[in-house]
Amino acid sequence: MKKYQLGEFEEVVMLTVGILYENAYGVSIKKEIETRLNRKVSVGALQSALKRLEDKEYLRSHDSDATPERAGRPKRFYKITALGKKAMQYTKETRNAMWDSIPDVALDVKFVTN
Amino acid sequence: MNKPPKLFLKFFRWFCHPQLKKPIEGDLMELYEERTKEMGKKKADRKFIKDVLLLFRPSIIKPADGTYRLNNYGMLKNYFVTSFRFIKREKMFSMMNILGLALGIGCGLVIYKIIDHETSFDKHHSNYEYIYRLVNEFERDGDKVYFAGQPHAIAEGLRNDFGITSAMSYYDEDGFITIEETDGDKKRFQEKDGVVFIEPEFLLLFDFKWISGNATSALSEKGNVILTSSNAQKYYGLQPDEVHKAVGRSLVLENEKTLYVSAVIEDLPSTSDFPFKAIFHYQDQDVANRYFYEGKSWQEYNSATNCFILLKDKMSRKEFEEQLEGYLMKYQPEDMASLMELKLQPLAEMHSSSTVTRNYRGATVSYNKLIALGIVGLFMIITACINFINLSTAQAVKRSKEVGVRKSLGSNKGQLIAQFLSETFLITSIAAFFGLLVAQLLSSEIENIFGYEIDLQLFTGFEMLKNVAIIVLSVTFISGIYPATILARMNPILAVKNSLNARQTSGFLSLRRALVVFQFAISQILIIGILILNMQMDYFLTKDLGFNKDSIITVKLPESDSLKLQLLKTNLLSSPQVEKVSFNTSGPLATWKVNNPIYHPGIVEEDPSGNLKNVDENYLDLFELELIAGENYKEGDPRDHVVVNHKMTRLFGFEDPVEALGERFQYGRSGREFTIVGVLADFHAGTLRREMDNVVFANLKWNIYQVAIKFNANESSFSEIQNLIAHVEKHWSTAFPDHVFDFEFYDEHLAALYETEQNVSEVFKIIVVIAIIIGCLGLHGLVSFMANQRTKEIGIRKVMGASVLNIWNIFSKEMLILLTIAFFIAAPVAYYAMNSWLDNYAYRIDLTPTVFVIAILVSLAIALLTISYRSIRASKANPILSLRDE
Repeated sequence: MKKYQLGEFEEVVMLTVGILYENAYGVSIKKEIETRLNRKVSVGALQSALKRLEDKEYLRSHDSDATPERAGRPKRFYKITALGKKAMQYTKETRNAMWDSIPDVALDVKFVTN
Repeated sequence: MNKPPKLFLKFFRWFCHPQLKKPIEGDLMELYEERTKEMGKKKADRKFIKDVLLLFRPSIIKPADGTYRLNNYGMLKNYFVTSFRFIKREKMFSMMNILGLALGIGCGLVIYKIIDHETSFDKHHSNYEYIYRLVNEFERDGDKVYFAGQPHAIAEGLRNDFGITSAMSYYDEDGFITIEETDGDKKRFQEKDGVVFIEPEFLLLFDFKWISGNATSALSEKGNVILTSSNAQKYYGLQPDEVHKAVGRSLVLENEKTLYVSAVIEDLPSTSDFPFKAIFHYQDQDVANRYFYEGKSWQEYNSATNCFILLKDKMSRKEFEEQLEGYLMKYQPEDMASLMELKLQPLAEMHSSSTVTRNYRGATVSYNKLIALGIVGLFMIITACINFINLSTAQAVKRSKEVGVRKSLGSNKGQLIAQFLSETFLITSIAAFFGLLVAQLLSSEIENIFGYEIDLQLFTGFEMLKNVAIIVLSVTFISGIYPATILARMNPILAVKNSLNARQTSGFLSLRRALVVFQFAISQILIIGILILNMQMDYFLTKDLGFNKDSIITVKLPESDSLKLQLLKTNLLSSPQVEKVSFNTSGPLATWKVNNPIYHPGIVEEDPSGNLKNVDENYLDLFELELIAGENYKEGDPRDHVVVNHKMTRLFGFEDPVEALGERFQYGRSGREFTIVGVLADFHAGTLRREMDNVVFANLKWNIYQVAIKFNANESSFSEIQNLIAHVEKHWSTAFPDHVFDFEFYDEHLAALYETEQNVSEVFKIIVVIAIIIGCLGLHGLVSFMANQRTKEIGIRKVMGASVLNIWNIFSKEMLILLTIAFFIAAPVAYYAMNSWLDNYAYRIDLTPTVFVIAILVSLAIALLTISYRSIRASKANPILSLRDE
């Protein structure tokens, strides 16, 4: 079943875009992920993920007016689409369903030492 | 504010997808700013670089096609549309351009094809690189001279002594072949070429395409014959697909030997120096060559007998030549063997050698000639390009507005150059198409001249298409780049205002002048060349040879039985039209000769030789050779009485011919003594290319090969001559019923000896005409340019009262100067080139100033005609039209 395809990093990006809400653009997303998850994110990886998500129509973007502090370049802000929201929910639900199906014993891991 | 590394920023901008470019760049800049504040410029730079490199991934990189390229397609399409419109609008201009280029390209292609043909001789043999012809090297007056004739036994000697593959061949050219049909009828064929006798090993050296039979068995025994497909068809009336049926059938050679066809091969390609048609076993040549002596001789040399060897076992030419040193000593008397050294000539050089000028095809084409031809071809294309440059720059003023508008709308230089280059490309492509037509027309013309077929191979091979493509691209570039840059460089404001003046364009005007001078010079060189060529040809054909060549026909004699000849003579003289009859070896001037050393105590010169002709007592009278001392020998005189030419008596030390009378000399190595009874004024016994020979006329009754018949010139109407020939044929055929009658007019035969020169002059004429046409087009371009530039000036002059003549004067004055400059370049070059060409000939014309005067007058007349056409049009234009603009 390939209804909604969302990779791990893509999911992180989607969540971050959701968290940042009105202020989700390249640098802010990057920083948010870096602080929250404590991992390095390269501009390239992030941008290609954003482009993929936009191609899948999980995100949509609009450019801000140019500002002098970014050498006259606009910011591209991202927003989650309805489809994106569904995809996130679907992913979350399937995860939860899977969590719920795990028998408790299986997680009660003990090291057996003789 | 800090700036990130420029190079990487540029790189990013270059590869990034245009839709993502701006926001991502913004992100990068923001990060960069922050980082410089946090950790300094160095680290920020490094991080920036890392980010950029990590961004270089498929989803970010712009797509290879799509929006970006589409724009270019559109632009290119636009270029072509504009070009088409321009071609349509400027019909005259485009036509001249296309015509000029088409002529140049067509000429170039044909010349390429000729060179290609001449350099591809015998390359189809798989042993091409390993086959050598044995040649003899002599020392003569300090120069090395080569001769390819070999004694019959040498190939077998080499096989036995060195264990190499070698083969003799004797190319007899002509042969008489009779086919006896089953019903007793006889079909007779007098072959004039293609009859050859070869050793069986020859088939192992060279490749033939076997239709029936094979290389190992075809000549396994004496009496076998190999025929080419077309000869098998001719002899046995076979269809092309049933030539194999010829195998096993018989033919009679020289009415003596009955031989059987053992194999049939495909016709040899036109690029072969072995023009064989009927191939016989070497041992069967005794019927055709009376000096054969069973092929055992080591001392009989003749130029038709060649020896070919195969050096395949990695032995180099040099190694084998060293082994051959002194080899002849083993088989020849020392005084003979010491005269020469055996050398090897690679098969590759057989067609183009300038030292060994004989091969079975008859003539070699030296590399120098091919290079000269190639240069002429290149010149043709270059003049066509120059022409194009001249015409296009002439149009530059007209197109200035277009350029101005394009520039104002944002075209950059590169785009404008691209536009004009694509226009040139279009014109060149059209020209190339017409060029192919021109090439087709020219090649059929050339075929008539050279006698071989030039296949342009337009549709059969990629070779030609590839060449055409190369020509189109290079011509586009050479002729397009200059006008394109000129146009692209124009100042848009001035261009739109249409106030381009001479200052803006004078830079290229001077280059254009140089080009016109160059073009003038080329056509003048060609004109001088063709004039001198024709004069030399004329000299060849009209020079007094020292004897009469008119109203004489010659007929070959298959036998020299004196009774038969006597009867034939009486019969021939029975017609009142026949004045004189003589039996002889050959005419006074002949390419074939019997040449042997002569010995006399008075000789100072080294190794002189004499040309011996056996002629009867009527000969001198018939050919009107002038006796300056003594008298002719008469029938019944002792056989050793001979008549020699004046040159020979001078050789013996007698300036006064009378003193030489009664003098005796030895002719030939084995020593036959002759007594001089008469001396002739000098005459040409060979072509005018060579010095005169020492000639001996004797009445030994040997080597009587032909009958010369002098007819009454007063009655030389066409029907009279036909009657005469019918008369000769009737009696000849009665005398020799088993042979085919054939005759020649002696003056025509002599003229044909200069066929090469005649051919060169024909080809030259075509080239000159084309070069002149191209030159005229170029000139027209230059005058048009001047007229376009000076429209206003002419308008004002007219208003002020200038006449048409005044204005014509303005144009022609400059042209006269250019023409004169060109002449001073052309004259020395042409003088040098033609003088060295004339040096090839022992008898040549002197270069007089007349030729050069004629050349400059001709080119002047052509130039003035061209100029007048355009300048009169310019001067007739209504000044109102030219002045109202602005």
